[in-house]
Amino acid sequence: MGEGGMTWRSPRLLRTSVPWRGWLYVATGAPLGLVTLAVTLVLTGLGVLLSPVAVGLAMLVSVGLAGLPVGAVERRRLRLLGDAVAPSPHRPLPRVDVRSWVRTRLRETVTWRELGYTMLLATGLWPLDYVTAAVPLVLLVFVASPLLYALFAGPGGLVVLGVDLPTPGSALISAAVAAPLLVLSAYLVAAVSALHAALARMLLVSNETDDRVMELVRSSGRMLDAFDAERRRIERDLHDGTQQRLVALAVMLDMARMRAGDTPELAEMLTRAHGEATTTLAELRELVQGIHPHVLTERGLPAAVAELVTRSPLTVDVRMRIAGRLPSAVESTAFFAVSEALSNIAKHADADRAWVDGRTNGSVLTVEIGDTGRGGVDPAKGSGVRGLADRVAAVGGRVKLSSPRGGPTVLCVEIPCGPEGR
Amino acid sequence: MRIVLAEDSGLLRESLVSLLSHFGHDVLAAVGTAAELITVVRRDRPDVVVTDVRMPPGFTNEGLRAAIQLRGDHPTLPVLVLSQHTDTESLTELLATGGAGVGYLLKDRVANGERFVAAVREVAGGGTVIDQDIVRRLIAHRRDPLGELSNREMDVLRLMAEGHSNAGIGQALVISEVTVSKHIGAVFAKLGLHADDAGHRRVLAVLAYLRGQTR
Repeated sequence: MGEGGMTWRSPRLLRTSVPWRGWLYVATGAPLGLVTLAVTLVLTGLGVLLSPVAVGLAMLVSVGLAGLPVGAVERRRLRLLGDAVAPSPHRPLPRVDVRSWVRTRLRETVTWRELGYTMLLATGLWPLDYVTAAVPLVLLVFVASPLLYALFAGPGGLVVLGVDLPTPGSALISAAVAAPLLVLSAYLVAAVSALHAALARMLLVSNETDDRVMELVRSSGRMLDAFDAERRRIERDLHDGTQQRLVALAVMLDMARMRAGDTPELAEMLTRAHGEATTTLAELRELVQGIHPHVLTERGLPAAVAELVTRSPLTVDVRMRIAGRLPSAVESTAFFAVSEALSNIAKHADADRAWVDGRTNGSVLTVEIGDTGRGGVDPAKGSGVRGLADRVAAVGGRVKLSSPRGGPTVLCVEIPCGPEGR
Repeated sequence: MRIVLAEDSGLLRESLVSLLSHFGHDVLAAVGTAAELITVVRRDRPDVVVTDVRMPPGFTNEGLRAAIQLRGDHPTLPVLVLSQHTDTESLTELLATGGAGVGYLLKDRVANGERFVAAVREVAGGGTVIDQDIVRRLIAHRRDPLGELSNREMDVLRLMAEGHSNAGIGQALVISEVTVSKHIGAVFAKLGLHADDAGHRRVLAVLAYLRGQTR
C-alpha cells in the first residue's frame, strides 16, 4: 500500500494535497468505469449474437482482453495520487503477429488480474467513485446556500437540490450543518480513493515474483573490464600476427603446389598441406570472431548484433535504440548475452522466430531477447543461461528470465552503463 | 594488369607480390599504410587496387576508407578490398561508391591463388565480386522482395554476386547459358530492374538485396 493509504487518517490531511488528488482520482474513475461497463456490455452482447461468425468470437476474445487498455489507463491514473509511473507487467512482444500476441496475453495471469479489476471497476467501483465525487460537490452547494438564497430566492424561499429552504435562517442552518460535513467529506474522498488505488495497485502493478520472473544473480563484481581488455589483446595479436602469417603460408603453399606440377607426389602433398592451412584459417577466423567481434569494436553494439543475426538460423527481429557508444565492457557483455541467448534459442527453444530489443534508459542498458518457442527454461538445469547470468553479474548487471511452459521465453539483461553505474 | 597493393603485414605483402607476378601481373607498388596507398595510386594510375581493410596507424578500417576515398576521386578505378571479416556494412559502403569494378573478399581467399587472381581480373575488368560467405549468409536471411525469387533464381543471383559470368553460372548449376539468361531476366523483372539500367543491372540486383538486408 502506498503513501495515500497511510495518510488518509491523519488530522493534517486537510493541509495536504491528498483530498484534492483523491477527488480527481474518483471523479475521473467514475466516467471511466461507466464507459468500460458500456463497452464491455455492447461487445459481449454483439459477441454472443454474432458468435456463429468469426467476428463475434473475436469480439468475445476482445472482452477477455478488455483489461489491457483499462489496466494501461489505470496504471497511469495512479500518478494522480503521486505514484511513480508503473511499468506494464506484460511481457514485451515487439513486432510479432497478432495471433501470437493474443495467445501470449491470454496465457498471462496479469491479463486475468486486469480483467478482474475491469469487472470490479465496471460494477462496484464506479458507482462508489461517483457517489464519493458527488458528496463534496453537494455539500459545497449547501455551504453556499445563504449566498444562493440572497441571489435567487423568490417569495416562497428557495429549493436547493430538492431541499426546501423557506427562510434565510433555514439557509444559514443548512450551511452550518453542511460546512463540517464538507470537511469530513475530505476524509471520505481520501479513504475511497485510497481503497480504489490499493485495489488497482494490487491487481495491475506487477510485483515481480508473478509470472515466474526469476532474478538470477545480483552481484557487484568489477572484474570484467580486465577480462575484456585481455580478450581484445588476444584478438588483436591473433589477427595482426598469426592470421597474417597463416595466410602468407597458405599463399606460399599454393604457389609451391602450382610449381610442383611435374612431380605429382610433391604436388599431392602440397595440395594437402594447402588444404590444411586454409581449413585452419577458417577455424581461426571463427575463433577470433568469437573472442571479440571486430564489428563490435569498430561500430558498436547495434551493428554487431545486426551482424550476429545474419549468422543465426532463426528469423530475428532486431530493434536497438542506443545512441552512441557504451563502455566497452558493457558492449561486449551485452553482445555476449545476445549471442548466447540466440544460440540457446536456436538449439533448444523450438522457435521459429526471435527478437532482440535493446534500449538505454538513463544509466541502464536493457536488452531483451525473446522467442516464440516452447518455454519452460529452467536455469537450475545448468543451461547456458547460468553462465550468461554470471558474466552479466560481473559488470554489476542482472538477468531476469521469464519462461512459462508453452512460452514465450523472454530473457531480460540489465547492465549499468552510466557514470554512476561504473 | 598494373596493380597497386596495400597490405601491412610484410610477409603477406611479399607473398601476394610473388603470387601476382607468378600470374604475369605487374605490381607497380606494394605499400603498408593507407596514406602511402593514396599517394602511389595518384602517382601510378594502376588498372586495379588491392587493399587490406585493417591498416596502420589505427588498425581499424583505414584501408576501406582509403578505397572509398580513391573511388570518390576516380569513380571508375577498380578496387578489390580484402577483409578479415564479413562485415556487411563495410561492403554496402563500398558498393555505394558506384557499383561496378569493386570487390570485397575475405582475406583467406588469397590462399587460393588461381581464384584470387581471377577475382582481381574480374574487378579490373569492371565486374563486381562479393565473397561467397557474405552472399550465402545474406541470401539465407533475405525476405522481401527476394522472397519472390525461386530457389534456382536465388542460386543464379548468388553466383552472379560472386562475380561469375553467365557461362560460369551455367557451368556451376549444370544448365545451359540460355537458361541462365532466362533466369537472370526473371530476377531483374522481379526486382524491378529495367533494361535501360544497362550494364549495371547485375550490380543493382546485388545491391537491391544488400540494402534490404541492412535496413
